Amino acid sequence: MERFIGNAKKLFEDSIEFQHNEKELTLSIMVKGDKKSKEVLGEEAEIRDMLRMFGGLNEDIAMKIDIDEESQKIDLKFQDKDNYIKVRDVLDNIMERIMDICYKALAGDISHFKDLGDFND
Amino acid sequence: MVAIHNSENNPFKVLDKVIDRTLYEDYVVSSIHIKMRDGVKIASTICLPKGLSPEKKIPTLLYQTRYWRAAKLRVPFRWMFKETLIQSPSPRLFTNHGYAIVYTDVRGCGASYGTRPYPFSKEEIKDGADLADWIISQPWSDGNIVSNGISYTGSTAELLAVNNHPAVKAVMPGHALWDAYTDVVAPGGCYDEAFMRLWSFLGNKLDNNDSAPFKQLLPIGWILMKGVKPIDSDTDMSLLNEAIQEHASNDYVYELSNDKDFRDDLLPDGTSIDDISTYRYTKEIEKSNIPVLGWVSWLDSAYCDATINRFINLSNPQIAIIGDWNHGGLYNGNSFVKKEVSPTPEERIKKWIDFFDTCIYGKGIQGKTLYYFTMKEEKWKKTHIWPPEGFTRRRWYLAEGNTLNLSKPENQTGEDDYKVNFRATSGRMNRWWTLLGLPIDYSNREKADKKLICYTSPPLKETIEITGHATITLFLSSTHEDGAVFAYLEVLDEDGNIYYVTDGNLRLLHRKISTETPPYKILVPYHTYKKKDASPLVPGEEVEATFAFRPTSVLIPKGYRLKLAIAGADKDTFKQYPLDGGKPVMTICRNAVKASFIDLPIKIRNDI
Repeated sequence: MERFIGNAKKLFEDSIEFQHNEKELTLSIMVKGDKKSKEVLGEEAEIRDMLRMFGGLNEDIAMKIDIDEESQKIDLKFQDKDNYIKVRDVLDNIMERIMDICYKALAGDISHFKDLGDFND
Repeated sequence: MVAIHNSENNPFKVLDKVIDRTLYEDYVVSSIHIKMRDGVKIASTICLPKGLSPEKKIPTLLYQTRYWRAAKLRVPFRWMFKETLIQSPSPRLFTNHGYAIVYTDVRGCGASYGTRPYPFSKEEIKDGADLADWIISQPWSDGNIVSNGISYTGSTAELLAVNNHPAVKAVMPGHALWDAYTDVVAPGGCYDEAFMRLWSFLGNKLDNNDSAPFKQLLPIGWILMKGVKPIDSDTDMSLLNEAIQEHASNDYVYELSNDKDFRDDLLPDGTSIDDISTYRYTKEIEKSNIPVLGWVSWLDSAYCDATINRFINLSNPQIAIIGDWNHGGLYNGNSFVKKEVSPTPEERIKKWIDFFDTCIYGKGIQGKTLYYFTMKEEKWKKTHIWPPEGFTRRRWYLAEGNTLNLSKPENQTGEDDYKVNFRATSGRMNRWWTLLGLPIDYSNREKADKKLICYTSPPLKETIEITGHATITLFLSSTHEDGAVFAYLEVLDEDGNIYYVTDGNLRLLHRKISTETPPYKILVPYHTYKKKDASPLVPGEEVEATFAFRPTSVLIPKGYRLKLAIAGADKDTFKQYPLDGGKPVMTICRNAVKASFIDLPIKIRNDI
């Protein structure tokens, strides 16, 4: 795990690809590599947790989340363009934010996490 | 960054590679239950080199943990990493070199069924033999098993030897206890309230598959992990939930021990804290004659004592390594030199593989060798006996004007009053809190010492090395029947900067030095911590309290000064004594009749 930070960015790029479709107001998360099971791809609540806890999305945005095991793709579909843009911006910066959070967590910087909220476990 | 790899005695250089073997790039993971002799199902995660041919036979590293063998990671980490991410260093280091790894949740923990009455129970130890039987029956096994680990898993590795299973070829207890009472529960007879409480709390949460407490205690764990990894076939988590229901009967060490004052206080089932100590299994481990590599840091809790006690007590072929890092070796712990931890965890693991290879394929190891790192000199050394040769004892006496002097006081009445400050603390990044894997930081000593009574020597006229156990003898009285002494050995450089060296502590109730034979060989004054030897103070009556500092190895240059700082409490770590509070005043004698002193194992180092 100690090499986690060093490898995380590359692994993220190797494992995940974001696609934007502004015309259809859809953001897609492509999970790459070996085929993942439904359990590994996750549930809707976990995707929302990722956006909120790691992406900093601090409002409840209306979106439809489709998780497709066959295509290994997670689609986030919006009715509202502003919402689409907000989440797109979150996804565009999410890796940098995750790296920052992990650096602080590895350093044992507990104070940083007091106000971060909680996962929907 | 200070290079330490130039030392001829650096164990991370001198353990040679035995064989070159096929390197594998990746590994495959599966999780199953393995049934034990009594039907309890142990959750096991098996990592095999990817591309291993069906006819190929390989050795196995067995790793038995109580902290989740594998994790159900959060999204998006689950898309990026295998469930073994939480194992550090990566299992890849072993699988790449052609080892299988079997990670297990010990009974009563993680996704395993069963219950646990206390850590390292006899049933838990026996599971090691059942797991070994299962491993060698696998088509990929070559019949050889080794085991390593850090802390709890270091102990399960060592205790695997107790079974005398013929497949087990080497064990490696890293940062692992020897005597549970003095190493973990109550060092110096002072109950480690912080660790015992947190450890039990965390254990309880882990056994209930609850990762929420990590937010405060281990943020990286909270960020990464949603829970324990169920076995592969358990897609609806029904088996995991069944297992967790069985964990409801677990007992936890804090609840079992926090009201205990003595080593021989019994737990509800008639056992004592000694029953979770490795030393109780000395005969069985020696009978196995399995090679042991124990490693630790001078700065890690009392586990430095554990490693030395293991070294001097076990007759097994043995390597011991004592460095300058935190608990587990992820961070530098050396107060004198700011640097990256060395060796890196990867460098370390590569040497562990060489050690295991030597034991499986090579000549094994002969005799006993202890490698130790001298801080400030920044050099590895090697010895076959402990304490190493060439050191003599030198006393520094507590003296007038808060000084430490080489000459014994001549005055007849010298003494100092110290009103115990219960707000005194060595902080939450000390040698005790690092048991949670935290970095070590003693840079607060100047501030901390303001609440303590301190004695400082004149500048040293020669460069000295301290290696081994220093001791302290205090003649003191108190206004109360109970109390504790926490003694910090520090040095000041020519600019007045303070560096922590080591510390020692004693609950004064346990101050009697026994003439009985200790349960294992020790190198320090023997306090039994037993009820029969309890010696409450009589208020106002002067008594002698002698106890050891934790062992260390440090070079102190000419011109530096020794500093002894004495407290009556360490509020963020240990239980407060007297238990019922009060405002005790200790009177420390420093006169010709009752001369308090520290006694250091030193070597003059004019060669530096």
